[in-house]
Amino acid sequence: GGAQDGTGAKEEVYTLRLTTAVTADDPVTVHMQILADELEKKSNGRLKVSVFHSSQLGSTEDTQEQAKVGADIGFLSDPGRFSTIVPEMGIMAGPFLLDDIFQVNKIMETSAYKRWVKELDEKHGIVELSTNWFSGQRHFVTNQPVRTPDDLNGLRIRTMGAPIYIESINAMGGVGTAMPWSEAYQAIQQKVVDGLEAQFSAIDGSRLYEVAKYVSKTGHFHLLNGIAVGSKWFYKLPEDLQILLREEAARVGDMQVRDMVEKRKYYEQVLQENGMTIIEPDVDLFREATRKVYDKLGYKELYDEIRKEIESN
Amino acid sequence: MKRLYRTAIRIEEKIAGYFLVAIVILVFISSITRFFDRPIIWSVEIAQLLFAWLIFLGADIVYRYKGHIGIDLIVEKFPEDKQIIVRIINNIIISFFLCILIFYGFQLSYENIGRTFQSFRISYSVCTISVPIGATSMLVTSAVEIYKSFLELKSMTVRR
Amino acid sequence: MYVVGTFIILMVFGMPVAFVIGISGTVYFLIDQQLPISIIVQKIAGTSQSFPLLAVPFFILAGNLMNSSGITQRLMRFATLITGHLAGGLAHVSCVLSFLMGGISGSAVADAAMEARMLGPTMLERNYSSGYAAAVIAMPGLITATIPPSLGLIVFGFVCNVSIGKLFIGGIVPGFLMTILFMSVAGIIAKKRDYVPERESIASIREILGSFRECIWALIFPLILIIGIRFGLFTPSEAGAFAVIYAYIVGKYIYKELNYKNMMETIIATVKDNAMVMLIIAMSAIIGYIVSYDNIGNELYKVLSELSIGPNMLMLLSILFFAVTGMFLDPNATVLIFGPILTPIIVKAGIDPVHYGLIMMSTLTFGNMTPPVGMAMYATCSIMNVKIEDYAKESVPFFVSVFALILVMAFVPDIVMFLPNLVF
Ligand code: NA
Ligand code: NA
Repeated sequence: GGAQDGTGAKEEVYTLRLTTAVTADDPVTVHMQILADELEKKSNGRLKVSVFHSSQLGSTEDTQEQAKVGADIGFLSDPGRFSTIVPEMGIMAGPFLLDDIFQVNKIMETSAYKRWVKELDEKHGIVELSTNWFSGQRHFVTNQPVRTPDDLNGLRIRTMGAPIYIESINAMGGVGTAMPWSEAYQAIQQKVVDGLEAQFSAIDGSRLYEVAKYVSKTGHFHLLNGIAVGSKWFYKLPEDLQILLREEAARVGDMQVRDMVEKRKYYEQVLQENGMTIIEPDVDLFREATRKVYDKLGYKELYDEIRKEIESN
Repeated sequence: MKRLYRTAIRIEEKIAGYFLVAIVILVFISSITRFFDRPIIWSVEIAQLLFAWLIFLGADIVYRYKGHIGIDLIVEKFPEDKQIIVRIINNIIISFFLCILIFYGFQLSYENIGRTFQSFRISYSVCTISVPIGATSMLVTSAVEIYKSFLELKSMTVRR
Repeated sequence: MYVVGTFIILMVFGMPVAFVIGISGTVYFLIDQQLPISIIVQKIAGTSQSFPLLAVPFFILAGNLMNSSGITQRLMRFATLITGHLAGGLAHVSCVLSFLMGGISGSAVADAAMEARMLGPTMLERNYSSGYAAAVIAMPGLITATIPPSLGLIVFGFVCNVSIGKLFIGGIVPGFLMTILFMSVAGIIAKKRDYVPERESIASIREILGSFRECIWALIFPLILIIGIRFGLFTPSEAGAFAVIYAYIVGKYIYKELNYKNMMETIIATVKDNAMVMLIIAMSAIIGYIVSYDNIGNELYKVLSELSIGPNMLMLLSILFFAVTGMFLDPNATVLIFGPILTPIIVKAGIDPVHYGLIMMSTLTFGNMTPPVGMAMYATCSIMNVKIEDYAKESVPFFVSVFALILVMAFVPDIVMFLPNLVF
């Protein structure tokens, strides 16, 4: 479709449904709505975009599959999830990969990233628009102060299921224990685990201050997210809309990162008001401790390659 | 041919039965091991996978016993031969639907073979494909039903 | 529109409900050229991948095992001892038995079918009118479905993300009230018509205690279940697996009535019951997807939240809505489609989702017992060979009283909420 000749032929309208697993009031969903509005405005209504939160159209795996088979679906996914199809991409979930979140744009400039995105598109039918959306940094939540890796020694820490998370926790001295997030609260309460690691918004959202005393601001993982659509759908769009989609996804992503960074203070305050003590640990010790994780998972060369490119820019 | 069909039916019922027992045991084990702080996550995922097969193999078994419930109130008022015709039409429509499930089901399983379960790394297609395979056996059942209905219809017209 | 049209036509022509739902959903995908058809398969298969729904086969199997392991027979003897001397004794036995079975079984339909086989023929022998007999067997299925465990509440909790443990405990008091209600209504009618008691006099305390001791294993199970769920020893789905193993051990090693043959029969029967229920739920997922995809859910949400009607009005409208949908649709399908839309609205209006869940599931499950579409009604009437018309006529007093009870539950939230608030 499209109106190439300008003779007043009706311009085709494309629909897009942006989906996420998080709830309606999550900062990420709020920015998705901003993205939807911007896309509609800047395309002069040629792109009609709506937002579906709380897995209304299915889990992230489901919506990824829907996008892949050609539906007008966009989905929010952490890059670690793609490691099952593009194994190298798992490194983006690695511990202390970034010094601060603003480096994420540098990662997207690296040749490695471009290689992954190309493979996602050509082999797996997924167009990753931009990977600079951000849900916050992960910190340790425990009932005893954690200032150095030694303090974590032997503590059972709930984390996410993938090997890279468990290995990282183990490297920092804890015992990484995978279980669904929904069970985490009760697990701490009943001392099934000694603590967990999570981002501020989740600590607040699940009212973990009712069952834990300390938050140790290690910030060991940056919880990155990417917005992706299906190749089948994407390449049916006229070129200007393709460009618009990529640009806006990255631009609103930047906005969302800044917003999340600004919210840190707010969350710290909320957690303190609810009785939690916030600890500033010696982050360098934790960073050192996790170095070996990259070797162990076979990411050593890749890690060096990416770090070099980030630092040289 | 008939004997082959009967054997297939028996095997299908056996498999479904064993799957049900396995699911109970897997979930039981997972809660016991969690209780003793040695959780095995994959046992629930396997149970979940078997559940898919239990449903769609079971759906065929129910179909063969005419156990899927519908409203017969209105059709019951029709004369007998009309009832059989309605039954044939219903089964033909269902067959079309099953063909859609079979075609797109195999396609989806093939295209998304790279999707895996969360904690044990086998393809999610092992779950997805239970739908087209269940649908295939239901298609056979449906064909047998249609054939039987035609025979019934024929014997009725002969009687007249 | 085409979807609704297809739905009605196929339904009228007697196509099985699961296929009616699946095919009407598929029509939407065939018309919308953009929407890949393989999503249908994804949605159907995906339903099986939710942990809470694993409870469906478990609680069906547990219920079926109770019958083959001799638990049900003992419970029936016990129920006869304590209520058999009342007029229309068997009607009371049916209510009490549903109540007792409710502690392990979670399905109204399974309960009605089982009792139609066990009590139906005797009732007709005693010259109960056929409609009355079918009604007093089918209706108390609602008790079984309300007393924890409850399939409907599991599905509601899963779809709407509400604590299943709390929902279960919320079902205890309403389950008691329903039992009393059904016994009163059945008793009044039986007395008027001089239906005979089963026993001449009240059983002696010794007899009752003796029988109580015999079925103690079945009677303590609900306690284990609730304590286990409350203290996080197991989730409701795991509780289902426990129930199965428990019924198996009682049947095999205590009552010694379970053998390989009736065990295999029970398993195959469960495979069938489970597939029947789950196929409907799986096919409903297609419609649920369409409702989301087409933004019907979000639109309805907007309209309802802008109307800003108070919680009481919202409750009343919901009951009416579910009473009507319950008459025509499968309860699980209805929850799957409307639950996610309505829950945020009612939470915003200040209604406790546990309270709402019990009202919604009671109303919908009762739809199983009402014409024109009702699985418990079909099962009972077909097993006992009773005309739906006769059943419908004799059911009126029960319909009215259950409706009244649901209204009372809706406007006196403490009936439902007192126990969950106390325990959690
Ligand atoms: Na029950
Ligand atoms: Na009953």
